Order: sequence, then C-alpha cells, then structure tokens
Amino acid sequence: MSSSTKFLTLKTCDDKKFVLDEAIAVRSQTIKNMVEDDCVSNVIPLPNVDSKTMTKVIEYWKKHSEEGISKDMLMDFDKAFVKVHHSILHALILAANFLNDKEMLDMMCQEVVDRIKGKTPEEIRKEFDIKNDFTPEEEEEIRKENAWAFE
Amino acid sequence: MFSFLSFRDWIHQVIHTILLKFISGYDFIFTPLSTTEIIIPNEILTDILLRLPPKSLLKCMSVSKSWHQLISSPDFVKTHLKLKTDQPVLFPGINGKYKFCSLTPLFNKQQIAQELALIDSSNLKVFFVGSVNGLICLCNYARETYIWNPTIKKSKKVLYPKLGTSFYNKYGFGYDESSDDYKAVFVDYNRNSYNDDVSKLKTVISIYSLRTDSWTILHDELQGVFLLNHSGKFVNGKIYWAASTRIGNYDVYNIISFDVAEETWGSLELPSCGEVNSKFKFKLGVVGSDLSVMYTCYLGTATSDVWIWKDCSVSWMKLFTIEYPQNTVLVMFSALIFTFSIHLSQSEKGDILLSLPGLIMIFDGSTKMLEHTADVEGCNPAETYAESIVNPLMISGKNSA
Repeated sequence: MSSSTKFLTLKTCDDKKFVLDEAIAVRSQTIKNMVEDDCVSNVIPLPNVDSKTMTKVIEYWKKHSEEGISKDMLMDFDKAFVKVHHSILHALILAANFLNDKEMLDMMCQEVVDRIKGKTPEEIRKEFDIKNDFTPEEEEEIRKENAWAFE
Repeated sequence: MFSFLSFRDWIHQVIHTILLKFISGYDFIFTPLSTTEIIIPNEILTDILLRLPPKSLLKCMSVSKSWHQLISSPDFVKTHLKLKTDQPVLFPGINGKYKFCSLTPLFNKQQIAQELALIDSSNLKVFFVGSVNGLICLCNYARETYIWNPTIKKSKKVLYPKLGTSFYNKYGFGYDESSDDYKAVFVDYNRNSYNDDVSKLKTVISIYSLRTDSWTILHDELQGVFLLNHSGKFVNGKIYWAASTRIGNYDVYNIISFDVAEETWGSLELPSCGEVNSKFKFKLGVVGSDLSVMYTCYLGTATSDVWIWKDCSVSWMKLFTIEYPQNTVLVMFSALIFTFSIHLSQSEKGDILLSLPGLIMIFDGSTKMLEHTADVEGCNPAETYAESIVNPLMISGKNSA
C-alpha cells in the first residue's frame, strides 16, 4: 500500500462498512466537503444510503476513475449501468443527490426522462409507483383537454 | 395451565391479525410495497420533467394531481421555455401554409418537411403578426386575431377593434417578461373617407394584452412616421420596424421600436455606411437573437454588410460581409418591403443561413461566399420558433380567476 493513498470508511444505513480510496470517494461533493472541513473521524456515516445502493455507486465511481479508460468504454458502461429496475434507479437518484455527485445524478435523471418519453400515464404511474388520485371524471376531463397527445 | 392460556392467547392473536388483514383488504397486500416506496424529491422530479418535450408533458399531466399542478405552474412553464435546446424555425406562409424545421437539416441542405396544420381550416386568409415563446399571433381581414400554440393545440381568439377606415396597417407581437404577458400591437393609418387625401392620415394604435384580455387605444403617437415592414421584429423585449418619413417612400430613414413592457416608442439611427443617398439599400432583420440591418451594395460584386445592434453599448457593430455571385440575387433585392433573418450554424465552420421571402441562402462561414440556395415557396423569412407548453387560455384566464 502506497503511503500517499488515503482510505475512508463509509457506513451505510444498514451498518455495512465500505473502505474506499479517498481520491475516488471525493467524487461525492458531500464527502469532499467533509474531508476538506476536516470533519472526518474514522467512519463517515451515510444515513440515507443502503449497502445495496452504495455497492452500485462505488462500482460507478471506480469505473469512472479508471486510468486510461476510453470514452467509448465509459459510454458502454453507463448504458449498461442504468438498465436496472426502477426501484434501484430511484434509490440511485436519491443516493447521488445525497452524495452530491452531479454527473451521476444527471445521468440517472436522463434515464428516467428517456423512460417517461412515449409512455402512457398508466405506464408512468407504474414506473414511479404513483397512485392515481384523480376521480374518473377529473381524469377524463384532463385527457379530453389534451386528447391529441394520446393519439 | 399457564402455557395453555398463553397458547390460546397466541391463537387468538393470530386469528385476530389475519382477520384484520383480511378486512383491510388491499392495504394488507400493498403495505409492504408502500414501505419500500421511494419518493423522489420535488426538485429532482422538476428537473426530470423539465427535460421532456411538450407532448410528453401533456401526458404527464394526467399522471397525478401533484404532477398536474407542477407542470401547469407558471414557474414551470417559464423555466421550460428557457431550457429549449434545439432551434427550430418557422416559415410563415403567405398562403396560410406554415412550415417549420430544425436548423440542422436546413444547414445540411435538406428540404423542409414539417407543415403546421392551421387552427381551423375554415379560416379566412390569415396574415402573420408575430411569434414568440412557441405562440403564433395571426390575424385575418375580418380582424379576428388568434394567439395560438400549435404544439399544444390551444388558441385564443379576440377581435381587433375597427376604428375608422384603415388605409394600411402594420403590426407586431411580443412578450413582456416582467409581467409574463403577451401583447399584440396594431398600427392603423386611417383616413376619414376613401376620398380623403393620403397626407391627412391619422395613426391609431391598438395594443392587446393577453393577460388582462383587453385593448388599449392610442391616438396621438407615431404621427409622421411610416412603418415599412408589415410584421415587426421582436427582439429582447422590443418590437422593431424600419420606418420612412412619408407615405409611399420606401427608403429606410430610421428604426422605430416599441417597448412591450413599458408600452413606449423609441427610435434608432441607422449605422453610418458612407453613402448618404443610398439608404434604400437598408433592410431590417434579425441575426440569431440580435436586431440587425443589412446594407446591400449592388455595384460590381453584390455584397451585404450585416450589422447588429448591441443594447449594452448602444451602438451598431458590423458582424461580417456576405458575398453574392454576380447578377444572381439582385432581382430579389428589388422588392420594396421585406425583412430578413440570419441564423448561424453551431458547427465549427459557422455557416450563415440567410432567410429572405421564399428563399434561403447558405454562405460559407469562412469565405462568406454563397454556397447554396433553396426555395421556400410562398413563405416569409424564418422566425425563431421553439415548441412550448405556454397555454394562451391560461394566461388570460389567470387574471379573471
């Protein structure tokens, strides 16, 4: 282990610990601020992220920190990375938001945008686990208003 | 005994629980789901929805009450306007056929494919008043004025007041960002009777505000000023017309502006281009989002100097000079009244697209020489046109609510 490499320990909400190279962990602006403000003791708690999600985040961070990786390879990696069930996608969005990794957040949000495009309201509700709180009459009226959009 | 009792209690409890869950029906089935449900914060949801095109947004409005509320909020509509990425342009047709196209295929010398279906086909001949934020303002000879959003297929119809006998009229359409209002301006040059001397024309200005859904009529402004182009050019909060000093004179004397928010008039001098006696060679137009004049020289090799107006320095700046092959385009420039628009390609080459009535010309970005010409039959010069979800009925509705 080179003496210049510093490691940080991250603890997720389900009490799992991740030991990570500081240079990689500071992709998170939140962690970076903590390191810079010197408020890092032994363990950085991540109360809003579970271990399953954090594993994915770290997989992304490591790939994007690889030396000499080509743009095309990263694009292929990203493409495959976002192909996950919507519950994981949403958990990753929340994690990226909490960790303040704008690049990752932007990519995940774009994936949601692409998934919404061309979908019917029912399909969107399913995708987002959203309850339809319109009365049938209200829904009919809104639909009629923009009927052509559903053609 | 004790253990028996507790067993009985246990059984009792189990039965009770099962019964409860059975009674509560769907809750029982869905409770585990809702506990793992992830709620995306509103700011992230807004960021996601803002990236969607208008048609998808209209569908999203019927997803849930909160989505409906978010997408129809004035703030959302305004932010969505500013985030437009591609730059489609609109070609207002003289015959009522409107075409629109993204700039990229135009620069790639492709034909314009998309055509807008007019509000209703039974319409009388309409003329183009102006376009801003995805809204198009049209008017017909019965003075029916439409503020129309073709993207969301919504339009507002108002009647423009007839005050006297109009000898000729000019118009424009613009946006007042400070009060989120859209205004149409009509300038009528009236005479008392058909036999009246044209030198006695009286100017009547009618201004329509979409937000208040009302007209303001002004009588004493713009006396002795004759606007030339039919439809004013809306740039950075003001509508501009080229103007001459007397009727029937098509030499551009200066440029008249109408401040949409303040409802005040102003004027701009033309850039000094040397020859004082050749002002007829000036034409008014727009370069991207800047007001522009083109000074065209017919002698020898035909060239046009393109100037843009810089509000910050209150001065004209010469942008470039484009060059035409000899004797090819001069016929076009003999038209008395027309405006132009210029779009610059985003590519490295920086090609120049000049849009004139019925014609587009592409100039090489580095040599400024004409490279390609294409007909846009029966159409006026291109207007910037970005699809939006601005609902003209909502803007005027908000006031009465």
